[in-house]
Amino acid sequence: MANQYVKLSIGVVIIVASIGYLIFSGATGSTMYFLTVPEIQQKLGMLQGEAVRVAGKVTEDPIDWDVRNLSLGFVMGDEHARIPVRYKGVKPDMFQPGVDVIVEGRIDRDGILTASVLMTSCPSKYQDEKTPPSS
Amino acid sequence: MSDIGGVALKFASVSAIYAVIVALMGASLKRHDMLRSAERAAYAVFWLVTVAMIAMLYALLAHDFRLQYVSHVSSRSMSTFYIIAALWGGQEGSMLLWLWILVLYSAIAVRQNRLRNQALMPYVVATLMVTALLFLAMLVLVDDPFQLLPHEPRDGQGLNPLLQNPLMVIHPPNLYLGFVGFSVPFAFAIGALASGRLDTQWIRSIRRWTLIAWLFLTVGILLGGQWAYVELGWGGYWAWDPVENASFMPWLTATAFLHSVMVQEKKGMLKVWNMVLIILTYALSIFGTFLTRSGIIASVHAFAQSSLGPYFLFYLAGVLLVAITLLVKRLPQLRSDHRLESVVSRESSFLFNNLFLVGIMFAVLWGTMFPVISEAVRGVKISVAAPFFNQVNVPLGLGLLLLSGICPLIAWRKASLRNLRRNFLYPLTLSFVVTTFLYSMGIRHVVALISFSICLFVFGTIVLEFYRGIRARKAVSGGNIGHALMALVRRNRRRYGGYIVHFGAVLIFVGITGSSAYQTEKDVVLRLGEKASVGHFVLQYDDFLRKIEATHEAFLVKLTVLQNGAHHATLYPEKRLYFAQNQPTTEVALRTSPFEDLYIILAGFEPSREIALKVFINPLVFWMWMGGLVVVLGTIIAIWPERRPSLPHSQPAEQQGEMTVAQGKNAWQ
Repeated sequence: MANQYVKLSIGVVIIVASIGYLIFSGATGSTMYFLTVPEIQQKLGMLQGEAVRVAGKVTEDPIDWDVRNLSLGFVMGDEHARIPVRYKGVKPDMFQPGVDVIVEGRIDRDGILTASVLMTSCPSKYQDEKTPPSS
Repeated sequence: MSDIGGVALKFASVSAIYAVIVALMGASLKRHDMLRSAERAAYAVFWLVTVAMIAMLYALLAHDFRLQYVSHVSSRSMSTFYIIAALWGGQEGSMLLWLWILVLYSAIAVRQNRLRNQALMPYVVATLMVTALLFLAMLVLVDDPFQLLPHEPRDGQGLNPLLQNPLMVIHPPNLYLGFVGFSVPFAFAIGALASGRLDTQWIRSIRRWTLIAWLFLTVGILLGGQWAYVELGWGGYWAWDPVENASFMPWLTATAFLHSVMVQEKKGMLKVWNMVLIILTYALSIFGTFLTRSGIIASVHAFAQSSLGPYFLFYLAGVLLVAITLLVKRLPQLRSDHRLESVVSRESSFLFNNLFLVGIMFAVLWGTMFPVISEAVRGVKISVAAPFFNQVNVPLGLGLLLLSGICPLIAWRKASLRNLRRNFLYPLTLSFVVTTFLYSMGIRHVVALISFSICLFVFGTIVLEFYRGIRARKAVSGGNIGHALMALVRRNRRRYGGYIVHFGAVLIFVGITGSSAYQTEKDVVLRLGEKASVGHFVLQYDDFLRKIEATHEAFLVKLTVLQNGAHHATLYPEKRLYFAQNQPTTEVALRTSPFEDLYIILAGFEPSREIALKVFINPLVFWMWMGGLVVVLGTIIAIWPERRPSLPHSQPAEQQGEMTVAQGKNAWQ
């Protein structure tokens, strides 16, 4: 009897340990700094080449959407802190000046964030006080 | 009309407070009349919230744009269908729906148990009404859905076009029906702990509740994935976003509970563990609602940052404190009736299955909360991305799938070598042979091969079980295979329903494996008349069309798809510009088949009518949705009330705890 509980405990410990190992090894392998635009500007020097995930607003600066190369250039931030972003991929539907976006990528030597992921806020957030601009 | 709604919610709050106080007093004073009064108050809460729902619906349908909520989520040009859906298209409305479902469930639970479980019911009513109060407090004090605007606008802003999709209309109610459904089992668990009636009676009373909540949550999650797939246009269905994770975590613990509760019913073991799982499931449902509404974790789905966060956290802390205190107090009464006899037995395989499910839950929770944890510990926000979740959960998910083949067939108590050989020899052979064939066909993706081999093994065990059952039925009562199959399933709905659910899970794994291991992605730029090849398809750009519709302007591209030189399909990827919201949307062109989905997005176009396409080939996705349907079918079979000769069940109310099987089965009729 007791023997069976020892065996069971060994099984449980092995499973729990391997789950723990998977979680911790996974967590060290795919982490990135999660920052806001002002935080990026402060630490620009030390962040070069690092993987970052940045949350912020798309500014009113002109957006450069190159359809042929699926390349989208824009500026994130506000009047105090800004960072230029270059994203390779399809421009999301919700993307326009003023919306909140999350980008993931790396910061290169010129201080440009080259992004591989660009997410706009889900439409369920559509609770803006102001009526959308009609242009 | 809108005043009525606000007033109804205030009265509902008072009524709910009354129900909680009187129910608890009735329990401590052993006053039956007080329980009755509390139950009537719970009914009153239901009717009052229903009035608020009708008031909101009326305001939406009557275009009463004085209401801030109505002007945000609806407009005159929207069809009636989407105007009704706008009821849950925003923060306040969706909380109102959440609340309404909860009080509806509460009323049903009270009605069902008016003669049964009398010792538990005061605590059940109190627990459910406390949950209702959390949402009532937020709707009355923080986010009033009936808030008026200073002056009435001529038209509303309208529901976001991305939400104007039938899938998105039924997805949130399904999730809520699932989330909220777990409140009832939790309330019974608290009732059992508080009253000390810890026999299997309460477990039997909530069996169906748990399954139904689980079914709705499963469907809700799958619909969310399908909506993301067909509407968002990034080629996938699941991104490990915090909000997706929020719905997935209670699903995992609920699934664990559905399995381990069988061990408690059959063997009287794992009693404490089951309590923990119910409490966790409820807490994770509340936590999920908190995650999506508090803005604590930046999510692409998150509602606007709001002041609701502290309410949820205080509530959650209170719930856990009460539940754990009760559980610790009752620990001596929750001892196992049996001891484990062998590690190679169904009992222990259930335990391992639970470990995997809770392990996945923990990994998801860890990954979701990582930015918050790292900020608290190290002062920097660090987030983990999708690769983390995949790296951790793919092995765990495959382990779980393997157990779903082993668990149902391994013997209770102690499995002999003969039992193992009898049940697993053929499935293992099938798996080995077909996997070898797949390898020889050129499939070299290691994880995909492992996944397919496990899928085949589980499929083999299920087929074997049905085969043996049908053969036995035919030997007993003759008839053809169809009759034998029907009789077999009818005699043991839970068991065979369970097998069908497992088969659905196998199909879902096949879909996930195919689409994640073998997805092809290609960017294509074309001038009018040009061709491009993607995989074994050739796309030919034939025409560019522009249409003006009532609500939007549409730009369509006509593509002729050729496969092996022959005409395969004509597809029209599309971009729309909705006038009301000045919002572009991308309409995915999708050609689905059992082998692969051809998925084309019109990424953009130039004035010269030059177009940029993003093309995905997603193999086997079809089977994921089929698997979802099979899971639904299996669950419905398991839930379906069994036909039994009706026994007299006119026992006096005091005799609760002695409920007959027939009464339990009748609970849902």
